[in-house]
Amino acid sequence: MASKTVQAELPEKIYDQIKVLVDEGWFTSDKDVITEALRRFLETHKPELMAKFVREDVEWGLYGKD
Amino acid sequence: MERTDAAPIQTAILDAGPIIHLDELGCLPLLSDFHELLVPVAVWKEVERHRPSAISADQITFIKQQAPVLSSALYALCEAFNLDRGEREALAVCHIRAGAILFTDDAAVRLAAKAAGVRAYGTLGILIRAIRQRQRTPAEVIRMLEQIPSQTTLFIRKSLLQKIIEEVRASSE
Repeated sequence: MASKTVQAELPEKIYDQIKVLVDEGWFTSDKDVITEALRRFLETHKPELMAKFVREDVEWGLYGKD
Repeated sequence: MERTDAAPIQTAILDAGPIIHLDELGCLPLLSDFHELLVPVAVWKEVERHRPSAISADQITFIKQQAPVLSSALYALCEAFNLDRGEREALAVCHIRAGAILFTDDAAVRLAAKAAGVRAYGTLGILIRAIRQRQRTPAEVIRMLEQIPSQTTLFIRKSLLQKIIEEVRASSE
């Protein structure tokens, strides 16, 4: 699979949690943890899904009953 | 702006996002017509850490709510959507407060809420509702919507925000 290199700063606490997962053998590298975490985030943050929720907000805001 | 025709007022359970985003806009009082505003303990701590002024504001009364233990079904749902502690507590509180509205700006939480049969809306809904509830004029709400990109940490596509503003404007004409 083609890949891109991204450089990003992480809060130390998050990095420590990543390190625990790798050190305990749940993942083979920090790259794998970050890729899996991002994959799961992206599954639930698809643009069309977020737009749908915004639409629901507008509908409720303008025409809701409560 | 005075309210003249009261709509049903109920319990709202809050995730951190809307508390923080409304405070960034100086709009927390828009929540004041809800019967009670429940903030799960983990969410409370999260807001205290990121924006303490929001939770300590004397303009609105939040109730710190201990969350019950998650049922196994709800636990599975939270795992599937990879929800954090505050988000899990918010859903757990919804579970014992049938009919309450959940306010969250997180898409994963909204998906999980839907699966759990909980109604959920976000900061945008609360802002726009202010027109219907006659808490703010349409012009005031449009101004608040326009301030979202520069004043808040709420992420929304600019073109979509513009579309919403146009819709709000059109609905008030």
